Amino acid sequence: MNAPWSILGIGMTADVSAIRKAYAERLKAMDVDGDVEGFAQLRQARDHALRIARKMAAVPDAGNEGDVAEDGAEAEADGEDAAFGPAAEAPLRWTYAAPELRGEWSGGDLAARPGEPDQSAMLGRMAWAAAAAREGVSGAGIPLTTIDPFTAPFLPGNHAADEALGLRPGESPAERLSILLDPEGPSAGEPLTEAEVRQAMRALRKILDDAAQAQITRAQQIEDWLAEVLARGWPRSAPLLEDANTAFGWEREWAAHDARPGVAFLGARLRGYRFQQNVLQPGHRYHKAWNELIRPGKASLLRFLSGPSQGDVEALLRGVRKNFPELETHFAADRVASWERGSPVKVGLFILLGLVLAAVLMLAGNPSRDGASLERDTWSAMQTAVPEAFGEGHDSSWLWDKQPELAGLLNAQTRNLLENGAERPAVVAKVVEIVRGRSFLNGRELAGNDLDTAMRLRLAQLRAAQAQSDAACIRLRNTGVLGAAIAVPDAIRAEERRFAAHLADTGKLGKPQDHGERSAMVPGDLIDQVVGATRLSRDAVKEAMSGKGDAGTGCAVTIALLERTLAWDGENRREILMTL
Amino acid sequence: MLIGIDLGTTNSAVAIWRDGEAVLVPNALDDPLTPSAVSIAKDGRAWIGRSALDRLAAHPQDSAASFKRLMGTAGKSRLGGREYGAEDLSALVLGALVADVEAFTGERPSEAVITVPAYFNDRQRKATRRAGELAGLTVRRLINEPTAAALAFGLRDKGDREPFLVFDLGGGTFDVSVVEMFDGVVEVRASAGDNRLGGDDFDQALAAMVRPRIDPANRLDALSAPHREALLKRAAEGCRRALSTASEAEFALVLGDEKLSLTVTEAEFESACEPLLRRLREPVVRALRDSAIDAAELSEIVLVGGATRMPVVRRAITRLFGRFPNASVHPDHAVALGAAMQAALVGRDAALDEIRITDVCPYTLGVEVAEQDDHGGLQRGLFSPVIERNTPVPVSRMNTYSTLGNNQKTLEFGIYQGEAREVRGNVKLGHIAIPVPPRPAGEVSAEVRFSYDSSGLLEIDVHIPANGTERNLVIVDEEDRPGRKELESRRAALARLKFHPREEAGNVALMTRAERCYEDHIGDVRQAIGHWITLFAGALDTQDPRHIADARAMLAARLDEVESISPL
Repeated sequence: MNAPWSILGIGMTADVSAIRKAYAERLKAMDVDGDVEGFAQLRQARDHALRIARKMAAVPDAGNEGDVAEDGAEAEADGEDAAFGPAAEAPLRWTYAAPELRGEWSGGDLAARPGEPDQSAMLGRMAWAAAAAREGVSGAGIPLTTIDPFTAPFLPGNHAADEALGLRPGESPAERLSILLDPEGPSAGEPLTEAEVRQAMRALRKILDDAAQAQITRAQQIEDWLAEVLARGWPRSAPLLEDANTAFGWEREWAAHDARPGVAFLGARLRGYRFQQNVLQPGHRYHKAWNELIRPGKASLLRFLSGPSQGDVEALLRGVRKNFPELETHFAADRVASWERGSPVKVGLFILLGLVLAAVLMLAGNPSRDGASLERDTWSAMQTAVPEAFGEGHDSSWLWDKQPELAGLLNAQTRNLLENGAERPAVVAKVVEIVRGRSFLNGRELAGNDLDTAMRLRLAQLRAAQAQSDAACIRLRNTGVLGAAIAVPDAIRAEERRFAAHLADTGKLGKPQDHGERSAMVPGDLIDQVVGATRLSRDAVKEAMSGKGDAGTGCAVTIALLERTLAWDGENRREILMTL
Repeated sequence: MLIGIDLGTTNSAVAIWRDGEAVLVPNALDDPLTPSAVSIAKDGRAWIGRSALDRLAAHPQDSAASFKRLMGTAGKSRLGGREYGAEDLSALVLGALVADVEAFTGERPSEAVITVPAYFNDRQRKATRRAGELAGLTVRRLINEPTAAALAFGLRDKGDREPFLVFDLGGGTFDVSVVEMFDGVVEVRASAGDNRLGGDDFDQALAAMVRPRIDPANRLDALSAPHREALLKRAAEGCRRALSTASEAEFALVLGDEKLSLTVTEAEFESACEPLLRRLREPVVRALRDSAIDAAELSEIVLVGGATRMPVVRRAITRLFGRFPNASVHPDHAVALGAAMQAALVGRDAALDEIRITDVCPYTLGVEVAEQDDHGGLQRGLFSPVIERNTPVPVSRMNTYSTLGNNQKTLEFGIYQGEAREVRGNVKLGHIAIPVPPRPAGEVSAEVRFSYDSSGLLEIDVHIPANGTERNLVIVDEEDRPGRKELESRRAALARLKFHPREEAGNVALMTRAERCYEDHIGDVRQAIGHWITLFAGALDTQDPRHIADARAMLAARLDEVESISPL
């Protein structure tokens, strides 16, 4: 890569002061307000050159980009032999766009320099866009933190073993907390016992006191470490979140568009936890609805006599799905499904009411839709839509049987669209869209053939979108929405149907998990392949991977990366696919 | 002539560039600092600076200070029975500074560089610019206060400096900037701050802590709000300043004919300030994080702003960074000096030919978007950043957005500034609507370009590739910019105020000081001060310069004596 050097007008060098000097000279020669683009380029070139210089200084032989990329990969590999083995292997419930936590108990160099952003961060950003779209967050240009908080492992002081903390000899409060939150063996996944909560709270307070007294760098390390441990220890860490939040003022950060991923994760969890604590109080508006939905089994037919109102249950479901998706796991799927189908007794009432209403409306000459005919139309639209989405031989009762939650969702969507005057084809298209989105999001979490199928289908969809326009392609990448106007080839449609039916049959078409931000290291040779396939400059490719650049480039790079990764058999293949 | 002005919450100062260096301009009282205070009597007589501050005690309903905190808001101050916005009052202070420069150099300046807190948002910046216009100045540039301070600190020897941190805690605002200097380039790497945190808040915290103890019967409630606040504020400020040099100080105020007083220890003060001290941390963390610099790498922590004189603040800073901060620049002068340097840079002064300065835009700028969620619902009111905070300026960035509804007819862009994920947490700067061809959802896209120049002027261009439509919005003051006419009429209203002739400034200031001392004391001392005031007024009536000068020296000496006894 010559770009930064030619803009600076110097040859490649590891000499930081030469780079600064060249930058200063060029800056003084230009009118920054008159040449905004030129200034941006110069600044970028300078920053890029400084990064390369730093890498060269660190690794005397490394002088080119490929090596820089591989440095990143090595760093990741180093992370593998973390002292904290079991936790590192456990499936993470969220991922930080940085190498794994490494050796936090081994002490280590507290003064370690924060790392420079590398390909991993850039790809993480791209993946973020997709994840963000799922969460309904804007994905444009979110800066990732450029500091990797875990490269500077921290070991909280040399506390004398404090009996009150329940510490074992030589154990620090941080170790205690970590073990309590991420235990090995049978108690993993169980909530903390009351005694454990007390112990954990005491350890936490000690750590928070430490942070309050500490200097800024160390306090930051403690904060980042704690965010990681609490996020990793979720849901066991639930009772501790409130205190940590108060101490570090995380609440102010949650609402920020660039909240650190760990903090954002904890923020969302704590809000859900608070809601759950509140809804368990008998006076809460949705208390009855909550209790109804968490009971296993199907809902009683006579529930309208003593149960919560249909409106409250629906409002609770809607609210939970929108705001605290993880709380839905508390609900019994059968019960949710039967509520979502609507109350049979109420349908009867609807018909009665509907008749009266219809009569009135006929007098008024207004051909509005009444409740009963809406239910009928919904049912009939589903009879068309389900085979369209899953292939012939599948109907909505099959879907209710296999994936009640999805069936409920599709039913509600269909009813909603019809109520708003949508035509049958639009309803069918929406159902296909939802199933397509779920197949992809769930398939991506699987391994082997299923993962490959999901990604191959996504590749075909991206190409179909690209044929329409680059914007459509980027939209599909960022929001997962293909759009009804885009025609997918028949063979691909058939494959999509088979795959969706297969996932539903095996019960894998449930609500997609929120995986937050993801990242993977893209090895240099894979980037080379993308560069070759797209005939773009390496810079443009990397820019596109970091979510910048125009739609055409972004689309071409996404397609090429997906295609090449599918055909590739190297390290990180699955990780890379999972970020796409 | 191009001047540099530090328009502060507590004090303002003006400096000029002369013979290759920045020079502070003294006011009529020969003081480089002019308190940012205004007092206007019912008859239209106006006091600005020290005398206005002194009048605050005796005439709280006529006087205002700390109005910078209301900049960019609709908040008004009532003085002498009329309402004035923060811009109007700031314009009066700026006018006084302009007069000082005219008296100092014999030339009336017409252009200025004015400093603003780095963390001032767009509205606050525009209000500052308007204040300059009201004072008859063309504001050539607004420069961030910590950046100005960094210039003053860094250009002393023009040598290279590894990244240093400017910690600027003023009367009403708090800024942190990470700055680096090399080869004549002064580069701001990142700024963060809190535009609602300053010395005033420490006074309020102190007053809030003391009040129940000093006034258990709530007798202060009987006073009007401005009067009560002025009393408490003055008492707190005096006590806080005394605590800078002693381990305990008296908190005293005069209520009617009675003096209420109480001793406050440093430890008590520190615990009252604890929540404020904690708020110093976050902007520091953010600025370091955004500039990707570790606290240990900083070469200096440079203190600026009067509130950094407080030992409690210095201790907090020392604890935060694990080392002592650098207090080598004058905390009250550095910003004005830096503003004059920036003025020389803008004016392309030869002495600074080899210096360039690059700053950042401290807030994120973006548009409001809506997105489809998992359940097909529409999430509205989300913020989509276009220019991220701490991007070097000038900068121009483009994002592409597409329609969400079928056959959507217009695309509407709300333009926002801030860091919240949802736009309601951010500051709205403007709005742009553009018609689009009716197509299915997502098929029409719009390219939105944000351009932000060195003065902080934001311009937005929207382009619809599908049919070539363009829209442009220059976020000057579209909505809140007063028309030429209104500006003229406001300027005329301010001009109608009656100012004391410059040569009388010393007498006026002494008189208001004496009146303030009268309010501050009780019993015999008060009576004596009353008598001195009558004597001095009599001397003024004689219009005999020598007689007046003698009386003035006498009164000043007596007041000094009285005030040296009292902590007030």
